[in-house]
Order: sequence, then C-alpha cells, then structure tokens
Amino acid sequence: MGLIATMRRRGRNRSTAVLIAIIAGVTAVACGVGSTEPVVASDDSEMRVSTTADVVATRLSADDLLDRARRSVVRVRNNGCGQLSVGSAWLAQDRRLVSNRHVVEGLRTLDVTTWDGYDLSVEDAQVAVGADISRIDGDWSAADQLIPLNIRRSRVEPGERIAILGYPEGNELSVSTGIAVGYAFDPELAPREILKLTTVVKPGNSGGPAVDMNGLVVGVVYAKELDTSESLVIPIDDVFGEDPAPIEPAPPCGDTG
Amino acid sequence: MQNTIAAVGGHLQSPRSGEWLPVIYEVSGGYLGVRPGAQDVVGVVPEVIWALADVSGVTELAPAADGRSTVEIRFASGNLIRASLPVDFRDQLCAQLAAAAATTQTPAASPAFAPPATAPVAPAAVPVAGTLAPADEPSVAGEPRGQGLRLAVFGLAALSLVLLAATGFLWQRSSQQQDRAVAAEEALQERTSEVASLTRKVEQTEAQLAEAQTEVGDLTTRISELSNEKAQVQDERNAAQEANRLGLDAASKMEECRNRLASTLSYVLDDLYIAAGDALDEAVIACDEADEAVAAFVATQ
Repeated sequence: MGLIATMRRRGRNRSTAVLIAIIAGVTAVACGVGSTEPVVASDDSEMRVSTTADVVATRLSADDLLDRARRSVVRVRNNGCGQLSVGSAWLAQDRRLVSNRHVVEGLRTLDVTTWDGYDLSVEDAQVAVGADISRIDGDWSAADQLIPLNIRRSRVEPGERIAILGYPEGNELSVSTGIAVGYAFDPELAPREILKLTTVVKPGNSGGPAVDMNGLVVGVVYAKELDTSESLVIPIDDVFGEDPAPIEPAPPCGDTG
Repeated sequence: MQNTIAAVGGHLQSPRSGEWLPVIYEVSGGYLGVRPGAQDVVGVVPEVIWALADVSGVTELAPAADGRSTVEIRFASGNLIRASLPVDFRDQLCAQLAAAAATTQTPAASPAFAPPATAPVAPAAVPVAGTLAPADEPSVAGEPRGQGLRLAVFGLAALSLVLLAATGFLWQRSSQQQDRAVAAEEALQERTSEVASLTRKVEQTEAQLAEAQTEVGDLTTRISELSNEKAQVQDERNAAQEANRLGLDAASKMEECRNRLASTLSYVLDDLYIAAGDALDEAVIACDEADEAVAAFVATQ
C-alpha cells in the first residue's frame, strides 16, 4: 500500500496514472495484497511442496553420506565381564549419543572413538525400558568436528532409498545403502512398529543411524532378520517422538536385567 | 532504485520434516539468495538463488510478530518456499518485486535527447574578401550581369573555403581516430596477454588443487586405516586385559577354595566335627565361586 501511495505522489498526468494502475495490479499479485488466506492443501500443492524439497534440501551422494557419517557417527566398545563387544552410535541434537541397549548393557567400561581415532570420554550410559535404545553422555570436546544429525519427522515410504552408517564388524566406518521395505512388528518389541530395509548390516552396525538421502535420521539399526537378511530399524519417533520409551541407568557387568 | 538488500537471518521450513532451519536471506542484482545460517544445517540447506523475475507471489501466512513475518514465496515454476523473515526485509523484497514488474510493464520511453550528430558541423560561412565593387565606381549599363558574376564567384569561393575547412576537419578527425584505434589495439593486446597469463595461472592452480585433493584423499584413507588398526589393537588389548583379570580372579578364588578345604580338613583331624561342618559349608561356597571364575576365564581362551 505504501508503495502505491508513494507512486501516486509522483505525478498527476494520464500516462503516469495508467502506469500506477498497472503497477498496483502487479503489486497486489506479487505481495499478497489480494489474499492473506493460507494455501489450502491439495494434491497439487503437496506435490509442489515435495518438489520444493529438491530445491531446499539437496540429495546427498555416497561421498556426502560418508562425510556426514564421519562428522556424526562413532564406534562404541563395551568392555564387559569376560566379553568385549563393538557397536555404533551417533550424536543427536541434544548432544547425547544414541545407540542400542544391547550395545551398552553389561558394561564395565565404555570406549567411544571417532572414525579418525579420537578417544572420547564417556560419563554415563542409560537404556530405554522395553526398547533397544541407549543414550550415552560424555565429553565430546576432543572431537570438535563432531556435529549432531538432524532427524526426520515423516514416515518412510516403501521403495525409498535408505543408508545405514556405522562400523560393521568393528572395522572402518562405512555407508551401506538399500531400499525401505516397509513397517512391521517385531514380537519382542511390540506394540511398537519397526522399519525393515534391504540395506546390508553386520554385527557392529548396531546402534548406527539409518538416514534418508537428505541425511535425515529415520531410525536406529538394531538387528538383522536371518531369513531375509533384511535389516531391522527402530523408528526415530520411538527415541524422540511424543511417546518415547522411559530410560534407566545401563545395567552394569553382571546385571544384564 | 536499490538493487541490494543486506543479508539478514531468518528461517526456512523444510517441506520434508517441517523443521524451521536457520538460513541467511539476501537480495542482489535481481536475485534472491538463500544459504545455510548455521554450521549444523550445512549440507541440509544448499545455497540457492532465484531470479526475482521468477517470483510469482508472496503471501503472508501469519501476522507479523516480534518484527518477523512468515510468508510463502511462490515461483513461476510452481515451486514455493515458506520463509520467516524480518518485516523490513519482506517489505524491501516486495518493493524490489514491484520495481521489477514496473520495468517489464513500462512502455519504452522516448529518448530525452536526439542522437548526437556525428557529421562534422560546417563552419560558419566566411566572407570572401575582394568581391565588393569599389563604392566610387560609376554604374554602367552591364552592371546587373557583373553583379551576378560576382555573386557566383563569391559563392564558389565560399564553397571552396567550406570544402577546404571540411577537408581539414575530416583529416584531423581521421588522424585522431587513427591514433585512438592504435591505442585501442595496443590496450586490447595488453588485455589479451593479461588474460592469457591469468588463464595459465588458473590452470596451474587447478592442477595444484587437484594434486592436493588427491593427497588429502589418500591421507584421509590412511587416517581411516590407521584408526581402524588402533581400534583393533585396543580391542585385542582390552580382551587380553579382561582375560588376565579373570585369570587372576579365578586364581584368587581357587586359593580361597583350597584354604577353606584345608581348614575343614584341619577341623576333622582335630575331631572338631561341628566346626568342620561349618567350615565345609564355607568351603563349598568358595569352591563354587572358584569353579565359576575358572569357567569364565576358560571361556575367554
């Protein structure tokens, strides 16, 4: 409106009046003068919003995913009673690591290292009740390049490409990609849903993040189905959703709950 | 008209997650640009620019609050983004869009001035000397014809002078143009040489960069390998330490078991059967613990 008023003060001749009328019409369209109602969601508008995702969030290449993994995914060694096990973990926005319950339970000590060999100091480990999730607190200052991963709120669609980041068999950090099969129920974790992927996982991948091609976390790897070799993932909503599982201190060596 | 709007911080809604991500907005040279506004969204939010000419609409989604406005910016391609912007930036952006629309809508203005003349201006006619008849000469019968002749001669002389002046002027201009052309040629050659030199430098730098990137890539691979070696060795060391600890624990418990058994035997030999019974109970417990410790140690072997 201010623009139109300013233009009107510029001149009084006929050509200027015509010019003002044209500009006013364009301004009304350009700056929402005609309507302030929100866009009604429709299939077309949803499609346009989905297309915008390609503009706003870039799909990552394999190298990009590996780079993302280096900055956010760590190796966890559980020095337990008479046994040693290795898994993966990743840094969440609350600056705590996320992993599986079975990666940290029965611990005497936990060792956390980055892909390039920095040892991080662990202060505390907690596990979820009724879910294979653990949270690890510590001092990450030794690895100042460690940055948290962002999580995805929407459900994964079957056929969508999903990557798993972690340390298979306790070896070098790697990225493995596959396809989302869909949601299902694991009797041991019911009534909570789990997500199944064709992505190949091995012991050591437990606790690692499953991410979409935009690098957003969709879940936490916890197992592999022996019959189909499909990887099983706990949806991220079970960790950060509206109804996450309650947590308690990780059971130490000699007390695996 | 202002072409640049200083960069401001704002937010951009991710259509996949609905999350509002911190970004930097900027307008410059007829383009709207967005880039990550925080380290943790680098890689999530790319640097994107849109031509203002492609913006088809800006709609306010929520009333402005705390100096910020939530808007939806639509593009001619059908895409849209939802942005949270300072109100000042939004207003300046709308002004830019309106100005851009005015530029395309305004009919071509008639020139304010006529094109500058390129032809040389003819110098003012110079009076030709010697064509005036003496004032005291008597007039004669043939005077009208003589006057015409004088006018013709006068005209021819004037024309000659004009042509002479024009020739001189054109000669001078031609000479100046020649000098300018030579100077321009020299400047062009200099620039061409400079461009060639800079192009070579760019190519050299690109080659060095590629080499450095290869070295970095090799180093990165080596770092990963060494870190993995370190992790594997630490695994083995920790496992050995745990086995050692279990071995020592088993040995200690076996020692305790032996001592308890010896104590029990001692009571039996001394005919202290009640004491022997108590000692035996403790010996059984100690020896059970020793068995478990030995089993745990053996499991690590």
